[in-house]
Amino acid sequence: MKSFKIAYRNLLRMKRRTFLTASLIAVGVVFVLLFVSFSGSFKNYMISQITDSMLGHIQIHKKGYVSSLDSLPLDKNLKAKIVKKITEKLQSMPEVVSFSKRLKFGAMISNFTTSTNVRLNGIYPKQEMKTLPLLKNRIKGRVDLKPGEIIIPELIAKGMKLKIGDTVVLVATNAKGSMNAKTLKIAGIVGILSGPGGKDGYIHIQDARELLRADKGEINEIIIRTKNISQVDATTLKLKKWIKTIAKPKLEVHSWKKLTPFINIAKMIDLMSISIQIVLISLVLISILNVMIMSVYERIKEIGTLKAIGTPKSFIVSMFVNEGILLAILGAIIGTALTFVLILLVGDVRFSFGRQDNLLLTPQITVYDVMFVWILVICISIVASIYPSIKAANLKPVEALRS
Amino acid sequence: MVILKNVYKSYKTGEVVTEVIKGLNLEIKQGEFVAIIGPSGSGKSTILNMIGGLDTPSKGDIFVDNQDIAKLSDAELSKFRAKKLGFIFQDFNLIPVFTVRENIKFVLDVIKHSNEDIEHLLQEIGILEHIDKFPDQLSGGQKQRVAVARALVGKPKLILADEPTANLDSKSAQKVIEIMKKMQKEFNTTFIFSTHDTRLTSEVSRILELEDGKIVRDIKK
Ligand SMILES: Nc1ncnc2c1ncn2[C@@H]1O[C@H](COP(=O)(O)OP(=O)(O)OP(=O)(O)O)[C@@H](O)[C@H]1O
Ligand SMILES: [Mg+2]
Repeated sequence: MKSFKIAYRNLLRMKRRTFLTASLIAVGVVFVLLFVSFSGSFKNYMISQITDSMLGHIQIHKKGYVSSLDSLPLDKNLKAKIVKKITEKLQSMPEVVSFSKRLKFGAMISNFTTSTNVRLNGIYPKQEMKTLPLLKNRIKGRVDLKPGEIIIPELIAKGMKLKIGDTVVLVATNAKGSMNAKTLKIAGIVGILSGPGGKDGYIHIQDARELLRADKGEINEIIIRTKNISQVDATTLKLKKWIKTIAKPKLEVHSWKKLTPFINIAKMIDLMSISIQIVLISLVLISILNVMIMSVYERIKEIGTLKAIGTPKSFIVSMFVNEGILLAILGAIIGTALTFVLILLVGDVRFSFGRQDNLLLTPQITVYDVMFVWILVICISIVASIYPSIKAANLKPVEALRS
Repeated sequence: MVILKNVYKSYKTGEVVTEVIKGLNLEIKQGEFVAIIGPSGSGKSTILNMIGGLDTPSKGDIFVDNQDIAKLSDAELSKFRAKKLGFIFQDFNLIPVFTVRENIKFVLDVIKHSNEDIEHLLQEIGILEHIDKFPDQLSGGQKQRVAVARALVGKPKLILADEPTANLDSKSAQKVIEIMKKMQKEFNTTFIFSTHDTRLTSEVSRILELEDGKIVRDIKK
């Protein structure tokens, strides 16, 4: 522990240099922590928006449905018999909290003067709200949809100047090509979300089946909520295996990751986070290496003296490595403190993403983030100071003393 | 205590090889107080460094306390120096971030002794009042006395001092030599020191005069 004493006293002796180097490390730490906290909460926010108010965690369809989702086909519907089978399976799985059946289709919506295309989900309202706990936050008006009512997407409400309580007419073509119409009352308006399904409206499943003249129990999508979003991959795999045992019709299972383009943004965020960490690593590596080389160079005579006294090499190595570690810790402390101050000052951030405005981001730093950065910085400081330290320990005493 | 047998030392600078020590034979007994004198460049430092195992001869053998030091590994040599040798340098070489007490204590830590009476030693050397000062708060003479204490505290058999008084005024120099002499008497330590200053040789028991890598005079008193 004597080597710690020498290390920290030397850092104290070189106050200005110590401060400058520690500040440099601190800047790196601030960048990483700020980025991690903002990007992390952005990612989590977006993922929870997407999964908890739109996609659910996992979806089941007839094979080929997802790839032709744009045209909302009706020839890939699931009949009552298979739906029952899936329902029984899902009810038997403890990791499945809830699931909801949907009949998705495209229709024309008219306010008696103008009309436009609309994508709709025929839903069982109770199941849907349970499977998508955040959906109600996106809806203005009533969320407990009843037969004869419709929740229209915000864009259409604006475009057609519709408000809650107005009446609209839906016109849809069914799988056999015959048309049908239905008059519905607007119960609510649902806000927009980026990605597929983000501009969909909702009607009661009964109305959807009537409009499309679909069979009883016919649907084309099942969305599933797992206990914990981290179980998604395992549960998806389990369902995929189970589905293979069903000969006909062929089904497909997708986790939310396969269903939203946001996953690419999430991956990009992770990549950026790694890049910023690499910048931090280089910053720490270079600044500590630089300081330690200087420190060794300035103290060659001291090293020679220590060697003449018979100080073991390991002591000389640890003396310099400790100096590097202390410097890193100092930088990490300053950086972490600075980050907390900055986050307190900035506070919550409102931002827009795509068509979504006024999203609220609460930056958060977890103990794990801080620990990760600290361990990273300390490890790199050891790596950076080990070379100059070993060089110092292996100096020839005569040469060191002569300098 | 110290035996040099036919020791040569040459330095190679580029293509040029300079022979600095040219066949040195020498025996120094336990408890001797030896001064090595000679003009600049005659090889005084080189000899002291080789005896201390800080440098290696090109040819010949050096025995210190019956140990052929060429046969020791790097780590063994470190231990050997820590246990048996003390060094005093021309420019003191105290550890600047350690106080006087810590500088001396450090040597004890290296040899894993802890019960030596540092304060008593400093008292005898006359710098007890400065025990908690840092080296840069001391005068040259005081620093060198700390260095003497540091060399002595582990009770080594041999102390090597390369021009210990060169950076001191003559009064301080006299004082340091007196202390060295006193300690030599008290602990029967062998002292070998080099100096330019012939006035400092009055106390010594033996003077080796070096010229051009050879002993030209060996005066025992
Ligand atoms: N590393 C080295 N490379 C080349 N020559 C060296 C080296 N070290 C010492 N010498 C040469 O060896 C000779 C003896 O040097 P040394 O330092 O032993 O002399 P000295 O008697 O101690 O001199 P001074 O009284 O000036 O300290 C000198 O000529 C010096 O130039
Ligand atoms: Mg010399």
